[in-house]
Amino acid sequence: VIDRSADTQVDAPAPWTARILTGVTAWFRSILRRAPKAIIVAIVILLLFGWISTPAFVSYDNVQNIVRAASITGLVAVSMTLLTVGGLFFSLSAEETASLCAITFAAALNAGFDLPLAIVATLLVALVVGVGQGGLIALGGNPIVTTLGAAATLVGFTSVITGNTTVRPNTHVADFIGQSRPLGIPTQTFAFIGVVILASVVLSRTVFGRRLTLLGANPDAAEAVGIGRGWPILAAFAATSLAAGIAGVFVVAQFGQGVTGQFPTLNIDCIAAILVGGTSITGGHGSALRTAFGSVFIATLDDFMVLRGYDAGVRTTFVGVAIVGAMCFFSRRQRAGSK
Amino acid sequence: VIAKAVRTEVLWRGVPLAGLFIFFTVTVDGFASVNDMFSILEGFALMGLLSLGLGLTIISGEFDLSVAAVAAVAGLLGIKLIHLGWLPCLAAVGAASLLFGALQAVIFLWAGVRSIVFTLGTSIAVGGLAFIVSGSQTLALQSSEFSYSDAVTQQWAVLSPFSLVTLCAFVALGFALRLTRWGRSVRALGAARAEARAAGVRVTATIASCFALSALLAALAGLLASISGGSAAPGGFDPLLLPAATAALIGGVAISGGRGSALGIGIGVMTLEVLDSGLSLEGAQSYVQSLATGALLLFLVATEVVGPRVRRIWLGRAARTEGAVSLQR
Repeated sequence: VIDRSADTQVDAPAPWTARILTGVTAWFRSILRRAPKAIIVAIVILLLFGWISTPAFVSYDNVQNIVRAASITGLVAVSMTLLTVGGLFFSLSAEETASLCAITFAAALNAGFDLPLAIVATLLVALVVGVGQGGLIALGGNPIVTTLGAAATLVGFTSVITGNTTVRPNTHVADFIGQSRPLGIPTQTFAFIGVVILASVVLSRTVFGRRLTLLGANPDAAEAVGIGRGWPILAAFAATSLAAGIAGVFVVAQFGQGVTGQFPTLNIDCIAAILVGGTSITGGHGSALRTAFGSVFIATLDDFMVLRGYDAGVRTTFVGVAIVGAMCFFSRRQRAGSK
Repeated sequence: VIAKAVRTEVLWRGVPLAGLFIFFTVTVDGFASVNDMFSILEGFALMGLLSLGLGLTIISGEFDLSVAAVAAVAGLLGIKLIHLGWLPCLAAVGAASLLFGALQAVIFLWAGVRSIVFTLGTSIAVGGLAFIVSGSQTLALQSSEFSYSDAVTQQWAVLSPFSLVTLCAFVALGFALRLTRWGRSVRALGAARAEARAAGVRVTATIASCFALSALLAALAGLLASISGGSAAPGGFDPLLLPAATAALIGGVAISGGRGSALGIGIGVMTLEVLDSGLSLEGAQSYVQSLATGALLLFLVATEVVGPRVRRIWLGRAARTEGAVSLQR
């Protein structure tokens, strides 16, 4: 495809507004070109199928439910995509971090903190948890084993400090964060879209994103050109943990409680969203946009199964099979492509 | 060779175990009584089988996260099938688990996916399957089937048929790992995959045998534990995955592969069981044990990661290149 906008730029320097406009359209076109078509088609098929079998499925309220569910999962999953692209697989401590942050946020409000201060304190806790794990993994620890150990530690820790009870904030100052709908769209969705844009720009347009991609694609090459493992890994884990912290704040603001085990399926859903979206588990290939569509797909599927009355076992089995299938399919395709 | 191996393992791995054991004997009433030893060994019987299979896959340079889910499904199937008698039940569950384990290995090697993430996916799927098999309920033995349960739970001093099975599995796998060609292949694949392949080790067959054994041991653990307890619940073994991995690492299995022994894993499992029994006799909640196990696992990861660096600094400049080589692996 010949890029005509570039030609006109060479002939006569366009005014800056036009240049920004062509830049934005070019970027938008490149996004469309790289859009994960398979997963979008899958979502549309699922919606059509749901609409035919259960007309209530495609109502305004239900779509709103799907979007809100996809937003919280997607928020965390999109950040976790940084880990996957960097060859670090996943974090298995996202749901535990989110629970810890929900409890911290509720307790901070109860202790009389201002709303901004409570949010900052919560995110600081998330940052510490993320940097701690990231540090161990940057030194060479296995990401899955380390985050699994961190998850058990966090579950034990939150149970001990709360005495295994639910913490409810005694004020309603935070409720608007979780319950309001500016322009008819839940606040969670704005945060989700913001994170998708941020993660896309970071992954494709920044030095950090490029380094992380190279680390995932070819660690030896990264080392040969002098890219250390330390900072990119630390930052990727900090980002994932911060996203889990934000999810914790949102859930307290929406439901008014923080408790150990508040996010029972967040880890699995994030992994499913990343893999079904088509990010390669072997590292070096993937995008935030893919994971965003992946989480919409998982949320749609989930909602469909609940409406159709399937029990948790069928749903979990289906998600597990989808994870394994997507993992093998995209890994095989990437290998075939590189040969 | 064996005597030397036993001596080094017991010396290094046995010290914390003995220390913990003496500490609890002195501080906790009722610890190390015959009944407490029996319950420790029952715990060992269950977790030992899980940890042995998982440890075997770690030694081969892989990681089987699906053991807890396999144990859950096997336990449920055991409760459903035991009315056929021991032999058909064991044969059916054993064959299914062997096949499942080998198939897992063949698929992830074919797809080029790391086993730790592949088995994470299959553990989710198999965990869901457990809910389907049981209809999301706890399955219990019929009263006419209690004789099967009694056969496993009888107490011979501190031993039971269950813990004897586990001890036999440890001895058999310990000898196989150290003395046979197969055992050497497993360790070679874990230590240096490319070199082992070049030297003619059959990668797919060996790895598949490790995963088949791991699934078989997990299924046996789930089956025997469910029958002796008289009931099985989906997800009932999930809390055991982390301690099983931790026990293997306590026992000197390296996460990077290639190093470890059955005796070491056994000592690791005993250490965790003694800790567990001591803590619960002191009245600690289960989440305190989760905290302790998780922190212990993080500590073990940290020592494996930081250890070579510290050693490198101690040994000085001459050993620096050597340390770098071992880190890269």
